[in-house]
Amino acid sequence: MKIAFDAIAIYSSKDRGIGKYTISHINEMTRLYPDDEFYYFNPYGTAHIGTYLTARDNLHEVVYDDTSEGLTVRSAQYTDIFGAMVRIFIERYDIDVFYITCPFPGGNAQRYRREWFGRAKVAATFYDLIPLVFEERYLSDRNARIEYMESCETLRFIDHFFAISQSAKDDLCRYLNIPEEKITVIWGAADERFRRIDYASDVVRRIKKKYHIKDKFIMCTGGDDERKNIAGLIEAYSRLPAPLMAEYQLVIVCKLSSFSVSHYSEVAKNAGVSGRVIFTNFVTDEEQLILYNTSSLQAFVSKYEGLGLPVLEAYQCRVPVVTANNSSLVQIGQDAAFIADADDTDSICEAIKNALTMSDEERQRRQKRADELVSETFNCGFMARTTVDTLHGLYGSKRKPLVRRLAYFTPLPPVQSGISDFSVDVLTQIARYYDKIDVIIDEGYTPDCTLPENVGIVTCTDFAADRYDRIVYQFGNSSYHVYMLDFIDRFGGIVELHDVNCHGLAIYLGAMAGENWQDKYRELLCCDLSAEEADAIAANGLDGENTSRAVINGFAVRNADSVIVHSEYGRNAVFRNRLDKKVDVIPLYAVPDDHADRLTAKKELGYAEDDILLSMFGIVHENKQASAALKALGKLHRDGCRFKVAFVGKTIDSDYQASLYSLAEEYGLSDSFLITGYTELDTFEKHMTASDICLNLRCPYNGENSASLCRLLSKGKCTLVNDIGSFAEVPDDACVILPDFSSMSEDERTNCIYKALEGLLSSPEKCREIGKNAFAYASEQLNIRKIGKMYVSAFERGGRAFLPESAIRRYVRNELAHRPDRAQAIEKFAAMTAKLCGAEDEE
Amino acid sequence: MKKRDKELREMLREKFDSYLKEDAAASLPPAAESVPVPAEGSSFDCCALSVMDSAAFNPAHREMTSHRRKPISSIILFFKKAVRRCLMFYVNPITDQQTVFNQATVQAVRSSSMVEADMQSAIRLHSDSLASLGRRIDSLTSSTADSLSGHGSELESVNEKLRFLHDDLLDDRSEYRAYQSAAQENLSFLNKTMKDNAERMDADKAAVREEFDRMRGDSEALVRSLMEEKEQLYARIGQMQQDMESAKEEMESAKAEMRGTLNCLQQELSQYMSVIEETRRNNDTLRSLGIGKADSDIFRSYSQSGEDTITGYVLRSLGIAPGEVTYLDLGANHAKTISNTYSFYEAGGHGVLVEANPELIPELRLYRSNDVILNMCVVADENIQSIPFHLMNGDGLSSPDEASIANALSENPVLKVEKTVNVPAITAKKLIEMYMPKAPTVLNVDIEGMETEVLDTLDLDSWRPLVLIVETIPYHPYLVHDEKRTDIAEFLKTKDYTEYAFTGINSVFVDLKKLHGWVK
Repeated sequence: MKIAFDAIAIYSSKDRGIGKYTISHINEMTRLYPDDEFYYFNPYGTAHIGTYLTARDNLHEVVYDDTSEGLTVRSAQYTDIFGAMVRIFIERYDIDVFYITCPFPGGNAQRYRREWFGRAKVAATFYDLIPLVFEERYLSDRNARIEYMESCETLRFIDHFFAISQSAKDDLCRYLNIPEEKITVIWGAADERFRRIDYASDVVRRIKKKYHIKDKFIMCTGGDDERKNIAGLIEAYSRLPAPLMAEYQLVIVCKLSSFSVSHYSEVAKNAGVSGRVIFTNFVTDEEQLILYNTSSLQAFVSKYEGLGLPVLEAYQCRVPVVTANNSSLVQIGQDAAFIADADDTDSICEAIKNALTMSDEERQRRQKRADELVSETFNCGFMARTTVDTLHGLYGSKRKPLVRRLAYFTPLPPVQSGISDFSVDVLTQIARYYDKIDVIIDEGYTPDCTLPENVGIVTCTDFAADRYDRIVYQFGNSSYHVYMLDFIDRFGGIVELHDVNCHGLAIYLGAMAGENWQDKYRELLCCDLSAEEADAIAANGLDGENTSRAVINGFAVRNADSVIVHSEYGRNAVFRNRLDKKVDVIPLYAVPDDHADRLTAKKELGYAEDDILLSMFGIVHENKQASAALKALGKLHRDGCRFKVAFVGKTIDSDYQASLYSLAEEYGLSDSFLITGYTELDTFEKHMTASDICLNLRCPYNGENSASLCRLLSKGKCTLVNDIGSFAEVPDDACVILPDFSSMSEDERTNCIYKALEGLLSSPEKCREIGKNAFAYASEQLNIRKIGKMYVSAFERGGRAFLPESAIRRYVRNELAHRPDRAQAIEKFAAMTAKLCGAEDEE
Repeated sequence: MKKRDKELREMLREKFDSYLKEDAAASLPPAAESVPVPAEGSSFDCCALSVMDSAAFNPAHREMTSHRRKPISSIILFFKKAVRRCLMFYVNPITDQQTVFNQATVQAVRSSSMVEADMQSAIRLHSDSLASLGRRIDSLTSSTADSLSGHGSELESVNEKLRFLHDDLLDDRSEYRAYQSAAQENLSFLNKTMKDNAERMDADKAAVREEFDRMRGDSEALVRSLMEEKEQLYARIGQMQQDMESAKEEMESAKAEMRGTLNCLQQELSQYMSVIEETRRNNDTLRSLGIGKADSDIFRSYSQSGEDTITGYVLRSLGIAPGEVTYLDLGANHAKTISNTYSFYEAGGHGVLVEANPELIPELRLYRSNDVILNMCVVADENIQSIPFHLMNGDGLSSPDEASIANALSENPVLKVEKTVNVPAITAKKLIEMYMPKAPTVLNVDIEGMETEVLDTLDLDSWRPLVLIVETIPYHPYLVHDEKRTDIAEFLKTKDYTEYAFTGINSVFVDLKKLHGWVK
């Protein structure tokens, strides 16, 4: 199970009860449940794991805003950005349960909203409703009341509460009408440092001297709040029989304001015990522990508590306890403590008297009972186990998918588009996750392919959007996809962008508009470019060269709910113009194929077994560097290397084909060089299988992804690619990455290819090693099953607005623009935003 | 870190920088951080300014020397210093004042230089933009000249159409006013026609849709024509700008002229807008009168959460017009406000209203004069003759049921029981025997906390209202959610009623037998 919790309690009250409680709770959960994954959502960029939380393998920290001391978290101005962070966090780490550690953070902390959590369940620790229970005392100010009530209202969306006591649970039911079954009591525990310690006499003497304690003493660990009933305790103390009072002093151990000190001194003076009551004010943790261990009794008679940690601390230090008969105090006091009525001074006095004068047997019985209570219930293990077991029970089972019916816009065979075949493969993989998938095709043809049983085919004119839970569009840079545009604009949905640059299609659409071509073309360009830029490009007319002048995809994605691309290059290209789009990166799949026999394939293609075969696949074109590659191969041939060369695919025209053949002749390659022309898929794959080294070069690059490259990797071939676009995203030990050719001359390119091939031909082991890595990469990362699941979960998540660009712009203007370290601050903020967009950390 | 991630960061950084650049471009020069040198583009002599700057400070104390040898030089220097000290009272104020003046002058010159530079750059900017505007206008003029000539007549005809449209609208408006007075008298007649319309509704809907499409087409044409007109106006602006270029000195006056023209444009636009707004208002008036629209538009909802429109829809689907509806409203509460039956009453329906709260009876009698009004409390036990009824200060919460009163009080501390009165009691069975022997079309049950008891006493096997509206949530002072009662639906299911809708407050149940055509 994936359980996330926020840093708010730890960040905002690390030195107070709530912070300490949360730290020990989380540390214990991560320790006891190594099979669950815990995520620490830390938007503050401080209080990292290791500072308070113990580092463990199953505890992962996710930091977003480390740029501005958590400004996006603390300022209501940037709720949009904070919400985006939560949403992205939940989605990216597929969180099952998000645990809110401090539901009433106060101050300017952001209030959570249900819609940020998507399908994740939300749980929260619930401490108390004291301000509401004593509203005339704490909420007499109208604004404070409104704010507190608003906070209460925001609690309503929480799916499950973990209350720190039965009393807290009862309050939650009673005051906020939260159903009982939505609350589990996990109790609480004192820190482990509270335990029985026998201090050396000089240590005790020193501390007693410091606080002017002369005799044995009754200790009260209170707080500067009337509710803690310190005045009542002093009053009760004053009514003790004289011998007891002479034997024991009363020591109030807590930080008090000067007003409170004078007020309580006055109370003591009026009760005639001013000399016997001591106010230590602030003490260190160590001093507090010594005082616990040297006191004779802990008297904690608060009028109301969420839990009552001083009682548990005293239990652990094996000190007798007097506590009150209200709220959680009576529930943790049970029969281990002496119980008094907090509103009745005589009752308190009586309880103190009984505690100070109890017999040794009674003392032992009560201490034994206290030990039992601590070891059974009031410990971190109980808290952690109850929490995680409850979460497992409630939300541990597999979540049911929400998306049952899918509309899938795509061309299908016989349409001659790579996307047709791609869709058949993907549909075959994902069909079993859905009740029904309808493939929505263009008018005018009948598909010729086999699809799973529950996949139907619907012509776009019969499409009715309300029949589906999700709509997906397979969009590419060709006219086969034009019919989808109208539907994207009307119904939105998820657009899978097979070509990041659809400029070619924009030109086609311009041409289709006839004499209005200029308006149409400009309109399409303006989805991504400024008016001036669009004018400049449109001024060239519908020129094919324009495609390399600007990357255009806005007309396809502007109304999409979210976008899927095949590479991080693609992701960046979408974010460049549309920061508010959600972008998923799902690589092209490959079907692992290590069975095909290279030697048999060679034989069937008419090559000798020991022939070394170098191949290039797909349409033979200059942007695949055919001439440069042929020249490099020619030079190697002249150097005495012997091999066969095959360009498997049709050439763009016969002149170009002739020029390649004459180039081969010039280098004496005529006998070894072949352009196959168009081949059936079977022959195409056979050539791949037979090849020893493959070339898959590109320059210029036009945003495309290569299905051929995926096939080559899955066949474990050593392939040469350029450091460009999606090609550069293959790990560099799984292929040979040559530099980007765009700024190199033809000779330099030839030379570069020549050197790479020379190295590979002289070292067959290296070729084999790269091939092996390629196969491993393809079968692990590009495995069609894995990719299928990625699609299913991307469709499941659906689309939601991503980063609120306007809020980000506001943030940059208002918070960063005027900082003295502006450049650095923007750099950091860009790093954070990039991380929200899916980039990895710098390390 | 991956290369693409780095690129993404870099791209974002540039994007954020560009935000600031856009800001900077939008609001002219940023606050000056340093003053010293004259701004770029200023014609002020940079060297002269730096000389001024260095010479501005004019102290009275100058270096004193003597060309004689020591010790004579020391004596002379001492003498000189003494003289200087003696004259200090006279000389120092003069030099100090001179320094102040100098510094002020340098500052003034610097400021002037900056202002001049700003002006120069503004002039350059304007002249550049004017030039580019000129070029763009040329190209636009040439490219649009042909099409303009073609569109001229078309524009004229569109204008003509617009004028007609405007006139028509004005005529229509007066006509509609006449309608308005006539409509009151014609309401009963309309009720009858509504019934006829129900059969023709589908056909009407299609016609309305066609009409709507046509109107949309028209408005698109209107927008197109406005666009074309805008282009024409651009051409005119261009002409003005050419004039400006030829006479830079008259730039300011030319600007004023442009502004004037722009105002005219805005006025024209606002005139168009007001015509459109008026059209919209007229349409609204029409709609509220129910003229030229399908029945569904006339049916106005008075329910708390649309129960009556849902019921109306169900009934219409079953061929029952609102005017034909009969109802029994148990716990009628107000006559109109949040009434589930008033819209049917308004449409010509009638029935029996039972309300225990005597304070609401006069209101019911006033507004629901065609209905039978009973100031009674529905009970389960026929031996009870009258029952104490608790009047609360919260609307719709008064009830004879102690438990539901106690619940409301605990939920909302503002509530209280204002008084308790004895109200005649009647069982549902007797009520039906006396006032509603034939089952009504709609049975509305809103009797705080007693729904189940009353439904239990009804013989729903033989006495079957077509639609039941029953409150199915408990009372809370906040928006109630996820607390729907299921017992009522389960009970009614055994009686062959299906829960057709849940509005968040009430459930609308429909007779399954009727739906399946078991009972004609």
